[in-house]
Amino acid sequence: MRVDVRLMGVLSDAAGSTGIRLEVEDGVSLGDLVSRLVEELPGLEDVLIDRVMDSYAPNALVIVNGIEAFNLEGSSTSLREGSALVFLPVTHGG
Amino acid sequence: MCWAELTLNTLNRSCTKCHGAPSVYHRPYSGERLCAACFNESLFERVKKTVGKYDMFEYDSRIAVGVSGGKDSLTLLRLLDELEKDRPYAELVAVCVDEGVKGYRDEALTLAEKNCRELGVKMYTVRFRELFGETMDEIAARERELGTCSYCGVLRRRALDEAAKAVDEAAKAVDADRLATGHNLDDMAQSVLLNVLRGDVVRMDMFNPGGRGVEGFVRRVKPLCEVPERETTFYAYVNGMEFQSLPCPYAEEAMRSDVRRFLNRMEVKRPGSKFIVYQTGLKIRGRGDGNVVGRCSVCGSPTRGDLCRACELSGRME
Repeated sequence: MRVDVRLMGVLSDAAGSTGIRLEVEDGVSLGDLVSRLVEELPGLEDVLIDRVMDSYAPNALVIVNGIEAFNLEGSSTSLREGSALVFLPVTHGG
Repeated sequence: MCWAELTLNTLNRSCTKCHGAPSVYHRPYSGERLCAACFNESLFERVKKTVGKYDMFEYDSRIAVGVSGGKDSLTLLRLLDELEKDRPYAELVAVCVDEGVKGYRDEALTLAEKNCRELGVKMYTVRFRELFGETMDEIAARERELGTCSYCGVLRRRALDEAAKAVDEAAKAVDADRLATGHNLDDMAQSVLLNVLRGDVVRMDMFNPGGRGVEGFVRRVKPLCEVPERETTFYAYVNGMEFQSLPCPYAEEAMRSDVRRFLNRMEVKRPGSKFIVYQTGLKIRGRGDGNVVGRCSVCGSPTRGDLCRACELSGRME
C-alpha cells in the first residue's frame, strides 16, 4: 500500500525534500513507517529520531489524516492505504 | 480519508468536551481528547483565564504584540485579536524586530505582515541596524566574547521595548502600555530549570509571566505562559496559518537545548511535568520588585548595575 508523507520546517530542510510517497506493507505501524522514512531520507535521522526514547522525537508533531498521532495509538498506530501523514517540528524559529 | 478509516482510528474517541465530533488532539496531561473546534476554544479560554489571573490588561490597554512570524507569536496575535473584540477601547499593534538575518528574518517578516493584514492589525518594525548600528549577521561574523544568542536575546528584548514605546507618526504611533510576547509553557518551564541550573536566584525571584510596571519600561506580559508549545503548533496547523518554519541559523543556546530535550522526554514519560516545573517557578519566586535599583548611565533604562545589558553588549560590539 502507499502512504504520503509531508515534511515541514527543519525536517524538510534536513531531508532535502518536502515530502515522499512510500510503498509499505499493509497495516504498517507509524513507528515502522518512521524507520522506513529514515532509511529513505537519512538526513532525517538526527532531527527525527530520539535514541534515548527509542522513538520519533517528542518535539515532532505527527498528524495522521488530520489527527494528531497521540490521539491515536502513537507509534503503534496502524496506517491504511492512502494515509496522509504530516511531520511538523514543534521547535521553530521565533 | 474514508469514513471506515476514520472510525477505525478514532473508535470510542469522540471529543471529551462536546461529546459529538471526532477528537483530533489528545492532551496526555489532562486526559482530554478534543475536536478541532473545542481545541481552539480551549486555547482561547485558557489564554483568557491567564490574562485575567495576572491582570495583564486594562479595559483600554494599547497592547504591542511582539510578532516574529513564528507560530507562537502569530497564535498569540490571533487569540488576543479575538479576546480584545470584547474590549472596544483596547487596541492591538504588532511590533516586529528585524535583526538582519538574511534569508531567515526577511521571510518571517513577510509572513508576519501577511497575518497582520488578514487581521487588520497595524504592524511596526524596528531594525537592529537603526538601533544598534549593526545587523545580527554582522555581529555573528565578527569575533565575539559571547555566543550569538546572548547578543540577540538581549538586543531583541531592548528592540521590542523601543518598538513598544515608539511614537512614530508614520506608524500612527505605537506608544503601548503593554508588550505581549509569545512565550509558551515550554519556554517558561525551561527558564525555571535554567535559573536553577545556573543558580540565578535573582531571576528566580523575578519570574513573573504577568510582568510588572517599572518606570521607563513597558510592562511585559506572556499570555501563552500556560499553553504547551505542541498546542501552539497544532493550533497554527489546524487553523491553516502560514508561519516561519525554520529555526534561526544562529540558534546555539546549548544549555537551553539540553533542558528542552530533557523536559520533552519527561513530558512523554510523566505527562504534566512542564506544568509542575512552571508552577514550582511561581511558588519559589519572591515579590520580584526590589531588584531594579538604578538607571543605566548610558541610556537611562532601569538596571541593577551601572550599565544595562544592552548597552554593555552594544559597547562590546564597538
